[in-house]
Amino acid sequence: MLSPEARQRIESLKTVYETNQSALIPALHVAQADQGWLSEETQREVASILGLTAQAVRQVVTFYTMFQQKPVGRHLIQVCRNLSCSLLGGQKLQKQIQDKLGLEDGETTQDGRFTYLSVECLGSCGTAPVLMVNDRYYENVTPQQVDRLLEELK
Amino acid sequence: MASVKIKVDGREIAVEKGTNLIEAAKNAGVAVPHFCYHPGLPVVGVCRICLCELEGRPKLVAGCATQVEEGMHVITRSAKVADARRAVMEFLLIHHPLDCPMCDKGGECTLQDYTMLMGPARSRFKFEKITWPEEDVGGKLVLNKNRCILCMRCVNLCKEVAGLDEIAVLSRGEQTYIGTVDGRKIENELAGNIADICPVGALTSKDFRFRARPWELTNVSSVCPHCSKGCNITVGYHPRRNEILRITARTNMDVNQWWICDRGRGGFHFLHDPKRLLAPARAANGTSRPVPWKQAILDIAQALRDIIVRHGARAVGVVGSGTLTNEECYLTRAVFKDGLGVSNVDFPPRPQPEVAYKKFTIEGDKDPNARGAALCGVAPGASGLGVRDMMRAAAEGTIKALVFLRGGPLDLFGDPAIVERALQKVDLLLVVDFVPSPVSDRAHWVLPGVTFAEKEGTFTNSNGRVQRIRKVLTIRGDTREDWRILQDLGQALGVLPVTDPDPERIFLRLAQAVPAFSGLSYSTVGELGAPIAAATADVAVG
Ligand code: SF4
Ligand code: SF4
Ligand code: FES
Repeated sequence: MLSPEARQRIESLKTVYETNQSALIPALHVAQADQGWLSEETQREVASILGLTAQAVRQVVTFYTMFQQKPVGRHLIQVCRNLSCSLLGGQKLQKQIQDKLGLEDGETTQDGRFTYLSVECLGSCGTAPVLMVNDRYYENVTPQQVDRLLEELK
Repeated sequence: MASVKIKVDGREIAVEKGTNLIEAAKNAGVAVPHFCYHPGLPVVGVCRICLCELEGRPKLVAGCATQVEEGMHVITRSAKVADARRAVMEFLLIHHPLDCPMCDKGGECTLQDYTMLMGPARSRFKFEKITWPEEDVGGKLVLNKNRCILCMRCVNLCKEVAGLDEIAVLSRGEQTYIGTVDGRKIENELAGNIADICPVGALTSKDFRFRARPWELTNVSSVCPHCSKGCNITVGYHPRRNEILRITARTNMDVNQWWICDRGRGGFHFLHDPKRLLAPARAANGTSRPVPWKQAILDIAQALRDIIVRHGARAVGVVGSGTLTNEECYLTRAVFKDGLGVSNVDFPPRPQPEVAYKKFTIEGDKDPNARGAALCGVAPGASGLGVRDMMRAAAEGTIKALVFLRGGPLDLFGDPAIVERALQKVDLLLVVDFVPSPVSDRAHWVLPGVTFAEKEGTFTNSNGRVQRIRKVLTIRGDTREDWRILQDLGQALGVLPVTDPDPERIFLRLAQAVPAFSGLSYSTVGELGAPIAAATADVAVG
């Protein structure tokens, strides 16, 4: 269940946009910040507050990799698997991270420290390969950087 | 509407403003390939196979999403266009299985056709293909996502025609797929249309899949018999098996546009019902025995005559049917009303709730020809009784003979207790039908008629449009078309001086007798039907 504050904020988003469909992405951000991830139940709550169908919400949630459909660890590592990154070593980074953490795509470590995801374009092809940890971008990433990163993030 | 002049591959034509390049090219006799574009759905422009070149513009444009402009020169057959389309095909085929021989769409698949036409014959994709298991998504459809090219036609059919958001595009990138949400199923009754318009074998009809190859079927134009809308249909008939295997929508912009409902689509299985009535039969003392047609007709005519001689024509009640053709309704009136002077002639309405979708309504009147029956005079004559009153009169003993041209459940004709009493009490109960029913179970005589797919004729839909049904198949057994049965009875009764060898000629007679049909013939009715005469449209003939 969304907290009363989150509900309130989503309600008020309805007045900001011309259609409720346009308020969906900001509303999902609010819901995710509130719950940590977007369960089907949370998605339905958002749908019902905005008067949208479950389909309309699900299409958006599944399209954007920034929306989590499973609970995630403290550090969510997302590595771009699209063209530019793949050409510049993104796939090696993916394997390196997965091997080091022992995670399949989408899994979280036992201790809840890391979640690993490979994702479609992160929109930073010019600085490929790219990865994100939570809200932060890491660009022109090298294997050494990855090793250091995994050490530093507690 | 204002028109603009354009050139398509050098050919000059004038087309209406607002037309897109696909439709404009079609007018010029040029086919522009398209997957996602459908004239009945919003333009989404996602498949990119419709790329065309415009003279003087550096980039190719999507033919579906580009409208004509004065002086435009559209080039659909340049090397540049061919290259681009081949590239699009290669992308579309990346994850597509190469097993057309075991796909149900094979033989009528746009992707297969275009690949043969212009696609690269080989794939350069050397990696593992994404695969998905098959899935039941409701709507009597099976989803095979491996074959899906994400054209969004299914999504928009549900959204824009049914008005229900029941299937969606989910996820993104190469993981993108079509699916339902929260394990729900597609429930709208227009979903079957998706099997018609899915350009590939991704969403196929559960009812039809793997039952035959499309080229094995003979396609016959007809009209749906399941409500008064009169949707145009194509009946897919397997000649070797003498079996109907599917019904698909036939485009008629004045009636059903491109769509039909799932009741109409699936509504042919009753044809092959093993319980069908296959021979004329006489029932007496709890047993029923077959009787040759000739004998049956003579005996029935004799029994009817006797009753009229003894009790007058008022002792006869005729229950016609809005499921019979105009020709048959006309004969019903000619034989019983005009011929025998019976004024108790009527038919029972079969109303059900109407189902109104965003752009398609399934009508509530379940008779395909209620309008035609009324126009042709299947209605009580002067001081004649309607169906319910006939049942009462028969239960009280004043009506001695009941003729049902179609049976049904007892409550279709009135209070079931009264109908039951009526059927028990009459001296003659004749039922013409193709399947047994509580009425035929109680009959003295049963004559086996045929269904809409076993005879020629016309229906008049609720809008007053006269449309043809066609004889598609021959049912084994000793059945007879209802128009023949009515003519045979009329002859035996001595009230029908001339008979016709086919419904086409009966129709001409009807067109002379009933003002609403005046001037119409099978050739003016044609493939898409013709409206009854407007001025007389609502004057029933008594
Ligand atoms: S299932 Fe068929 S209609 Fe739906 S998106 Fe895929 S290819 Fe198009
Ligand atoms: S809407 Fe009526 S006429 Fe059309 S397909 Fe359905 S049942 Fe048949
Ligand atoms: S038909 Fe034009 S993009 Fe699909």
